[in-house]
Amino acid sequence: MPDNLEETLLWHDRFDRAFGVTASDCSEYLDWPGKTLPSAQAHIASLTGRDREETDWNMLNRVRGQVKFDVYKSELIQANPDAAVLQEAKVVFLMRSIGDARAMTEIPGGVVRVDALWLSFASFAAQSLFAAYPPASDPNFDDIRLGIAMHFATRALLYEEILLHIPLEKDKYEFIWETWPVRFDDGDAMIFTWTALGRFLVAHEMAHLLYHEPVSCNEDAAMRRGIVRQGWIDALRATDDVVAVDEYLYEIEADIEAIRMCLNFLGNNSLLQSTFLASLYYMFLCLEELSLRVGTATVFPQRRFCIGQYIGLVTGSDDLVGHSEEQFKFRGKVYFDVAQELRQP
Amino acid sequence: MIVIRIDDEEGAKQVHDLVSGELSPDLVHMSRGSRGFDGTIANDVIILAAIVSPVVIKRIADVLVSLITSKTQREVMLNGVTIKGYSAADVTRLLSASGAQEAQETQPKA
Repeated sequence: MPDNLEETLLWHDRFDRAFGVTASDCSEYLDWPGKTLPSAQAHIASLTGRDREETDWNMLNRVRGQVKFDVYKSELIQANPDAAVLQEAKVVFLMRSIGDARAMTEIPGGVVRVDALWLSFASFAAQSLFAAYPPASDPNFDDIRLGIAMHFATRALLYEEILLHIPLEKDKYEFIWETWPVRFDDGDAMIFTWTALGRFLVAHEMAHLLYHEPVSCNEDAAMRRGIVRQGWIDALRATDDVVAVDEYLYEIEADIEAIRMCLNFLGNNSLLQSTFLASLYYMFLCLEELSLRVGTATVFPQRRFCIGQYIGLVTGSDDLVGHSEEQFKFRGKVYFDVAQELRQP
Repeated sequence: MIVIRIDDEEGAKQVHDLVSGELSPDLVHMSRGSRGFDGTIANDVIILAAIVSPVVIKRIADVLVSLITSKTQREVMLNGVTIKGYSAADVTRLLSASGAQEAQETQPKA
């Protein structure tokens, strides 16, 4: 257990109380590492000797999510000694959602808060990437394909409605649990990917704590840090002179630094590294699509471009990026299109 | 805890100064330019104390409402909810309610 668990939980409770009055409590529709899904409660209760009805699943799920975050933080610090200064940082997992993940560098020791929404989105990316489709010869091919598309489309719609602050119709989202995917092309890869993407989210916010105090946020300082290549920024500047470099530069730095930290954690295993990198790029394609559907201006396109460049540098080819784009065309993009149909009155 | 998010750093500083005049430094934090995962930048004033005097609450409410009305694009959020269109009286009520809830939930159990 981390030394600062008590302080972390204190910050958790503060945020939970503050947002509790007003934020969207959509935790029952979201999933995160450590959460026991409603459909699995009976099984878990029988394994652990708990009484299902008497068990406070909310509390268990909340604590397990927080423990998972502390594990991510410890893993990242262990693999990246230069991040040891973040030992005292409080990495808070919040089950409620205000659609936000944020690093607060100025609070003593640093505080990171990550909503369940983004962890659930990481799960959406991992599961949709590996969901198994039956062979075309399967007599139930069309039904199964439709079921998979409807499941992920409903989740895409959920994320859109949370971010748009639309009051959620509970009945509509029960479908998510009823159709929870259980068949994957590679179940181990899916679990690994979900964990790796969750770790990346924490690493991204930790990178902000490391580098982005307000005084350090200027282009000269960023170029001196050398995390981002000048050529990438020049290319972005050349294609878009509307969005100021300042608006995306520090997010890109945090992304690249987070990837580096995560790769260090994975060691020299090229299969794990390439699985992580390909799924990360896929998640950013999904994030970009989500923000398009929600209608908010974000810097996900600029970030995806630089992540793609970095992946090319690390792997020495464009293959992973190309593979992810292909997968997105037939998976993520389709689910957002179906979500659009579901949204129509 | 009360989290006041203001997109304008000067405005956030104004609110921070109002509150820090009344509370000890460990009870009020300012987080300037914090970066969200989607790239949104925010300035948060975080008040940890349950009890802030009604006079200061009224002053904070006045500042927040004046910030919104001075520029229509300006975003001010109180505990995660935008207060666009709220009157100073509405904001005062919300701030008082948050403080009262905090006091209730943090008081030692008998």
